Amino acid sequence: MPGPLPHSQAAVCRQLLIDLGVGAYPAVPAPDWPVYLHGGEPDSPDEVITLAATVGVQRGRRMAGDRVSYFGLQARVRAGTDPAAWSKADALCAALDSVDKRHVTVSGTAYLVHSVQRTTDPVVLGKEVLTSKRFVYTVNALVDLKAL
Amino acid sequence: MAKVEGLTRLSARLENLVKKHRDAEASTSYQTPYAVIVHENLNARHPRGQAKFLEQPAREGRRDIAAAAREAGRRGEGSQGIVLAAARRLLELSQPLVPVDTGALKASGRAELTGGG
Repeated sequence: MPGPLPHSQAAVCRQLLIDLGVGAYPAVPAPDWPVYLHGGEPDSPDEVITLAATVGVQRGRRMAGDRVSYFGLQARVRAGTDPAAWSKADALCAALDSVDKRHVTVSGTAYLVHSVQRTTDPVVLGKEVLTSKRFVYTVNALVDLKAL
Repeated sequence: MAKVEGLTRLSARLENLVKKHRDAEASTSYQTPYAVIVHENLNARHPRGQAKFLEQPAREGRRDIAAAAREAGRRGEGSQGIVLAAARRLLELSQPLVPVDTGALKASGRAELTGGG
């Protein structure tokens, strides 16, 4: 991972998931499965994916001086029913697992996503009991990417 | 052709060592039923502590955890002692990050052997 990233791994992976057909960019009216970034998850619609940057892993430094880092990612899948949330989380896992040197462009900046290493299967968080009773799953991963 | 003596014996010793220590496994966990929810919910705001209270120190403290394992090895502990030392160190690193409401979650932290060795 040489050099700084102009966008967070969550923003890059949002575009990645949209390119892979797992979700869509948020719009009005809401498309199927809009993908939001952490802090921007709306109350409506029920079916949304939210991506957050989480802590990654430092793998040391190459002799050339650049550091080797994998970026942490959490995907949160919310839906009105458990089967809907589960099947989308499962599809999201399959999409992440399929990534192999994929080019992604975010606001004019090109990225190469080498791979995504999932660190969990979908983790069920159950219902949002105090609020909506919608079902939530999370998927955690490490992303190997660089800005081009 | 040059011949290296003792390779077969060395290889057999290494195989035995691997067999002996392969299953040594320890885990660090929090036992309350809601632990995973607190751990995974990045939307919650905690006056003390945070989400990812176990995952974050596991990633950021890898060197520290490895050092604890090495130290146990130097003390002459077996494979079980080594992995348990690593698990205990992870528990120590995670404790300050655990959200505290009633304190039950923080108190439920465990480091234990989960596999023989």
